[in-house]
Amino acid sequence: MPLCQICKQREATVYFTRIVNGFKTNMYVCRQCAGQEGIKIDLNSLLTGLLAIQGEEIEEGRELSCDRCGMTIDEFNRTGRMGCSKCYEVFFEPMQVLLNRIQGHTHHIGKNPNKSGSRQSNELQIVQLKQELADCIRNEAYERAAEIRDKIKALQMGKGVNM
Amino acid sequence: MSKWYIDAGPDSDIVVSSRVRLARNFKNYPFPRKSTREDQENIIKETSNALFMGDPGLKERLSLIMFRDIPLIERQVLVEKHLVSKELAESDLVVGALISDDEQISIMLNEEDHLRIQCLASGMQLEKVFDLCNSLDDIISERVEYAFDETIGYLTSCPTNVGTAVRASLMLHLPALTMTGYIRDVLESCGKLGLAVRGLYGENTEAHGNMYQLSNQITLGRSEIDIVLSIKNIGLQIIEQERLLRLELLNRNGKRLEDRIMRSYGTLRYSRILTSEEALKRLSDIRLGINLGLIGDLSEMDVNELILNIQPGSLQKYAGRLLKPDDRDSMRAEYVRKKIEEKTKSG
Repeated sequence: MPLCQICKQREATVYFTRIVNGFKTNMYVCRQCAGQEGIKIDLNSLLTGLLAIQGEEIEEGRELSCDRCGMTIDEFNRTGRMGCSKCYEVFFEPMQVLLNRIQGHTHHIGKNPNKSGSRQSNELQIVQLKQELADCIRNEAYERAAEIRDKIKALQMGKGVNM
Repeated sequence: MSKWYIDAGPDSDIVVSSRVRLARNFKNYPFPRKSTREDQENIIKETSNALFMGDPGLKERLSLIMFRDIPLIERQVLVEKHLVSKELAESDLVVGALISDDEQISIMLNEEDHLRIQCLASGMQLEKVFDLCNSLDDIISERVEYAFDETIGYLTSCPTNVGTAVRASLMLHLPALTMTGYIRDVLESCGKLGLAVRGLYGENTEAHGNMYQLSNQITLGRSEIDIVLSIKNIGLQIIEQERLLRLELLNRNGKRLEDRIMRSYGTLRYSRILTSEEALKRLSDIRLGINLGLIGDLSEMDVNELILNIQPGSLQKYAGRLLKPDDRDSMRAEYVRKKIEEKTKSG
């Protein structure tokens, strides 16, 4: 992270363009200095900046565009939004790096529409419930944990009967 | 049908409301911004069909509101009630919402994502609203194929929602933490824990009336229930701190606090001009006064209702006409005076 261009001590977390008498200057500053300078931070543009696919990620993907909706990396960097589900396949690699940066993870844990409700086998439901049970215990939600334990028991019993 | 905010929920001295929303997209259509108007129409139709065929009872409970059919002021009221986002109200796509008559359920159609399934309840009821969202999601997914990837989960227009695409939030009233300045520590800790804290009306808004919205930012790599419970647990800790501080303020500086609260009560009962900012500030004092047992003839729910109804859109709907800002302030004072009079008489 670059150093703040005003105090030259803290890390710069705010990036903005200042236009004075028609001259554009790009500034990197820290939050404190931004506050003192009376710079109103537009959270949206800040977020779009953080969301940008940067550096090496760009070089690899510069030429790519989504064949379904036409999304490109440049467009994504401008809007911070993907165009369709196919984009996530087309930009898979840069997206993995980006997700790791903004979410701290690259793998989904939790609900899966292909495995939920009536479409899901007992076994899969039990695996999912056990995961939920572990989360509840870790969060000390014992009442809910007891409910889930009962559900698991019921499913295991059901399985016995079916067999 | 009475609205959700009329009922008292658990921990309602501090928690105004619990909210969970799930973002979902159809596999077969590009995300709303890249879709055609025809796609957008189809998404609305297919969602309604999936819900009504999956659970015929929902046909009675949910109304489909197409935004092109309602006046601007009605859209603004929906935003003020937290039923839809400002982005949806201002969108030029074919947008709508499926809203339940108790206003507990609101499914936004063609916002940033095709679907934003959102459920609200008063007080601390995060698990309950999560279960409700989840069951609506199950019903829709029986007939709709979602955009989902086995590795990164539910696919959303913005990568900050990918994964579970769940956002759980609590609206907290924190006057004592704010008055004493400890709120800064709370905000800082929340930031470190990866949680967002926003004002009454979401992103980029100030915490008017000492209202703070606490929500998760991370949606990938943690299960839905894990996210929901962690918000609940951090919320409970903040509640504990706020309660302790309220008692301390009362013990240490009781007369001064009581004076401030009763002055605010007087202002709301008798003033002739009330800006929205002042009204929220005074209502925050009244809410605290009710919690501390200083005001007995109003309830927290009355205050919650007043907070919703003094917003510009709701006020103009009440007046039945468009009002200039100055007229709004006097209409607001009149409305608050009348409501307090009604409530204290009937109570």
